[in-house]
Amino acid sequence: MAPEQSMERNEEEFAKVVEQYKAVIYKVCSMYADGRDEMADYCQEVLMNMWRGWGSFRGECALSTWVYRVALYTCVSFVRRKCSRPRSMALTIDMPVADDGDRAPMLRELYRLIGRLNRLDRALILLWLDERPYAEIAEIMGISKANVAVKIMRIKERLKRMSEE
Amino acid sequence: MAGLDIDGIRREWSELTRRVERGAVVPPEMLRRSVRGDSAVLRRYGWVNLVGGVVVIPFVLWYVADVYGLGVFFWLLLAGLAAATAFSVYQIVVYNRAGRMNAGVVQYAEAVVRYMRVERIMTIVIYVYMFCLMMYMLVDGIFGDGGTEDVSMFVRCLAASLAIFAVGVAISLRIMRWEQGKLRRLNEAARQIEDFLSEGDGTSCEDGGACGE
Repeated sequence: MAPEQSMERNEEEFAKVVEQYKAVIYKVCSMYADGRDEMADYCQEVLMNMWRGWGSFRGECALSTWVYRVALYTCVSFVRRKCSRPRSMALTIDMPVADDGDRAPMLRELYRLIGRLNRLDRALILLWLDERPYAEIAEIMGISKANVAVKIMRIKERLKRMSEE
Repeated sequence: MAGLDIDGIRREWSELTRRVERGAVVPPEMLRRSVRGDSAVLRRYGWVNLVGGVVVIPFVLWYVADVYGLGVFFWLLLAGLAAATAFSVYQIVVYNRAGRMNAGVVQYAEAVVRYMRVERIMTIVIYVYMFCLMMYMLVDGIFGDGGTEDVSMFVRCLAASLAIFAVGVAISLRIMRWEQGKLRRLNEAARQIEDFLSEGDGTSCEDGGACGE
């Protein structure tokens, strides 16, 4: 197969993965972004990192685990390469639920409370809300399963306490 | 809100997921164009540093060997340049590893923090090292074997060296100021990682009580 054809196929596969996991990308970005513009920035960055890593993805872990890792790493990552972003890139995942006003009241409250957690705790609670098994959360985060359980329990307690304040 | 209804939130979260999944499609053409262009920029960034070094370093070494001979200064310069090259390779490894994602999120976040610390230390070390090397060259050139031992010449050269060095430091300080925001976030990030990792230490699911999935 010619390199160009192979590249084309690679891109098609990547587009399919993005389509399949756009909900994950959206939810992870919405946990970290503050407002629509930042949301678009986060989505762009996640897609860029996914594309960078796509060529070297060898299936060592489940595709969903990989997508979560890239998306969470990008949002948790503290060094954002703003300067390397092309100025003309206007890539957004235009979801119908992007506006805060569209969110259900409980969800809106949850976002407000989650905004007060640190970045790694936000990642954990997002994975728990997405009903990922503890073993997968441990794999995504790189901590032990027991540690995941303890942390999630503490985060839930913290969220409850914060909601009662 | 009187209290947080965790189960209710989980239900709303599932509903959110369903709504997002039914949402608009990411245009594949736009996605392809965008990611192709950007990935090339990111990948090229680290390599330009390294290739630039590989091209320039032999020329610099040849020049220094030709003018000053294979003395101590040559070997000290060689050691400094070798360290800078090793750092560029490390930079490329960090950039490439960031996209591979074969370890956990926490490990990558730690790697980024570590990389930023190394970058900061390397910048300081390189400046101090280059300054010492310049001073060594100056003192050796004037007071060493075959030197003029002319103190006024030494003072003039010292002033010129300090001026050149000050310009270099001023430029790097401008860059550092731009990086301050990033560095502040880095400190915060390092603290968050340490808190995150120490929080669950030594506590198992059994110790912690109700922690079922």
